Amino acid sequence: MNPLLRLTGLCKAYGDVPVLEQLDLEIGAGLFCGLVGANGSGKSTLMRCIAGIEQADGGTIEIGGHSLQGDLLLARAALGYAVDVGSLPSELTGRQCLELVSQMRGLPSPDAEAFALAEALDLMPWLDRWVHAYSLGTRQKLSVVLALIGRPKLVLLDESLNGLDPVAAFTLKYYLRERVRSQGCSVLLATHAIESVEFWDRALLLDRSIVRQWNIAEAHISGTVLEREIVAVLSAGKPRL
Amino acid sequence: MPTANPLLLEKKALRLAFWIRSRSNPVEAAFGLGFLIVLTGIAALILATLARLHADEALEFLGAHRLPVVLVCWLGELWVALALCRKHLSLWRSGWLAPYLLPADETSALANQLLALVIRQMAGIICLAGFGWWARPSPIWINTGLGLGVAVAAGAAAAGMLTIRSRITRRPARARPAKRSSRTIALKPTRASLGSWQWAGLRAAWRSRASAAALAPGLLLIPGGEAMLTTLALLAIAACFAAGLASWAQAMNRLLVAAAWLRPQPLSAAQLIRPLLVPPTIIIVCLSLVAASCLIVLGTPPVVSLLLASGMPALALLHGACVAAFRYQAARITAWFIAQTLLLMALGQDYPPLTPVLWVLFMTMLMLKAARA
Repeated sequence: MNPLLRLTGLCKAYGDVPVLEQLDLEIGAGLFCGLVGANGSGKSTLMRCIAGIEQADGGTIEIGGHSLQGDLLLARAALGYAVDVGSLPSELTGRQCLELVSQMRGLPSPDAEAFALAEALDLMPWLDRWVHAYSLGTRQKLSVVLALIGRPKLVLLDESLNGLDPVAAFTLKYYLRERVRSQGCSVLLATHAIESVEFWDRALLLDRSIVRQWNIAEAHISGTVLEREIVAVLSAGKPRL
Repeated sequence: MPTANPLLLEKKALRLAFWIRSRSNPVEAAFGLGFLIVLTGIAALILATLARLHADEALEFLGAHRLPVVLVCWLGELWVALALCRKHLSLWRSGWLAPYLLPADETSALANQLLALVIRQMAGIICLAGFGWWARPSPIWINTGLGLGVAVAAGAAAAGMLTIRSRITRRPARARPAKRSSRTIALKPTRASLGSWQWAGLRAAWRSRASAAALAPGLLLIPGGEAMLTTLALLAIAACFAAGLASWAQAMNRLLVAAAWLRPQPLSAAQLIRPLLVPPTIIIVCLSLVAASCLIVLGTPPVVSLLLASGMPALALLHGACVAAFRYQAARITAWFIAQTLLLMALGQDYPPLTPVLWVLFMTMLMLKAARA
C-alpha cells in the first residue's frame, strides 16, 4: 500500500546555504507524527516544500499517491496545511474564511467537524469578528480549523501550538489524536513542545535530513526521555554553555 | 561620551545588507540598475521636451508670480516634512528599536531624515532650473531656484521644530500604530466566493469614497455657460481615472492577499485569478465608457474617444496580468509593468498599429506565466 506521504532525496538550499539534504521519509495512514529539530534545522522549509509553497531543488514528493510535481491539485486536495497566521485575510471574518475555504474544497458550507473544533477551541465567539481583531492565538486556532476542512488525508501543522493557551493546546492535540484514530488521516506537527509526545505515534528529528525516528507508541517514550535523547543526538548530551 | 544612535546604525546596516544582497544576486541587481538608468533617461527626455516647448511660458509665469510660488513651495514642504516626521516617529515608537530609544536619538534621526529629504529636493530644483537654463538662459531660473531652495530648507526646519516641540510639550508616551487596520467588508452568508469577496471589497471602498460628495458645493465655483459643460466633463474624466486607479489598486492587493492565503488549496491558477480579476475589469470598462462619453461631449470624435478611453482598461489588464504572473514574487510586479508599458508607448510613437499586437503578446506571455506559477 502506498504511504500517505513519500519524500525521496529531497533537497533545498537558500542560495548556497543547504537546508534540506537528501531527505527520505515515508508516513503511512493513521499516524500522528511530531517533527522536532533545532532552530533553523529546516522544519518550516520541509513543511512548505510538502505544501508546494516552496519549490524543492531536487527529489520527489508524493501525497496520497499523487506526485506534487505532476498532479499538484490532486496532491493538494489530499493535504491540509495550516497557513502562516500573517497570511490570513484581515478584512474578512473567521466565518467568511471558513466558507471560502469550504468552497475551495468543494463543500457547499463548512462541515460540522469544523464548527465542532471551533467550539472546542473556544473560537466560536470570534467567528463573526474581523480577522484583524484576532490575537495570535485566535489566528492560530482559525488557521488550524481551516487546514482541517474537507477531511484532508494528510495534515501539516507548522508550530501551530504557538500562542495557544494551555486548554486550547491540549484540546487541539487530543482532537488530532482522535481524528487520526477515527478517520485514518495522518498529522505531521512541527513543534518544539516535546511534552506533546504522549499524543504522538512517531517522533522525527530533523537536521537537514531525518537523522533519527522514535516509535513512541511502541516504546512508550516519555517527554523527558525524548528530550534527553534529542539533546544527546544534537549536542552530544551536553548543554551548550 | 556620546553613544551611537541606534536608528542611524540601523539605517547603515540596512544599506550594507542591500549592498550584500545586490552582490549575491548580480543579474537582478544589474536589471534593477539598468531599469533605473532607462527611467532616468526617459524622465530627462520628457523634461527636456517640456523645457523646449514651454520655457517661455514658465519664465513669464515665474517672473510675474515668484513670491506666491515660493510661498506655496514653503507650505507644501511644511506639509510633506510634517508627514515624514509623523510617519517616522510612529514607525520608531512601535518598531523593534522602540525600547532602546532616547528622545535624543529620535531628534538626531529626524534631523537626518529631514536633511536627506532637503538634499533630494534641492537636487530636483537644481535639475529643473538646469533644464530651464538649457532651454532658455535667464537669471530668473537662478533667482527662483534660490528662492525655492530657501523655501524647502525653511519648510523642513519648521516641520522639524514643530514636531520636536509638540513631542516634548504634549505628545503622549503611547505612539499611534504605524498602519491603520484594514477596511472590513461584508459578504453574504453562505454565498462566499472569491468573486463575492472582490465585489464586496470594491463596494466598501466606493461607499467610503462617497464621503467625497461633501466637496460637491465646490462645483458652485464652476463658471456658467459653455465653460461649465467643459469643466464638468474634464472633472468627470479626472474622477473616472482616479476612481478606476484606486479600485484597481485595491483589487490587485486583494488578489495578492488571496494568493498568499489560498496557496496550499487545490485551486488552479484560473480558479484563483479569474473571479478576482472580473469585478475590477467590469468597473474599469464602465468607467472608461463614461470617460469616452465625456470626451465626446468635449468634441472629440467618437472613434478617437473610444480609442483614447480604451487605454485605461488595456493598461489595467496588463497590470492585472503582471500581478497574476508574479503573484508569489510581488517585488517584481512594478518593474515588469513599467518596462512593458514603456515598450508599448515607445512602439506606439512610431508604429501605432503594432501596439495592440505587442499588447496581446505581452498578455499571452504573462497569462502563460500566471498559469505555471
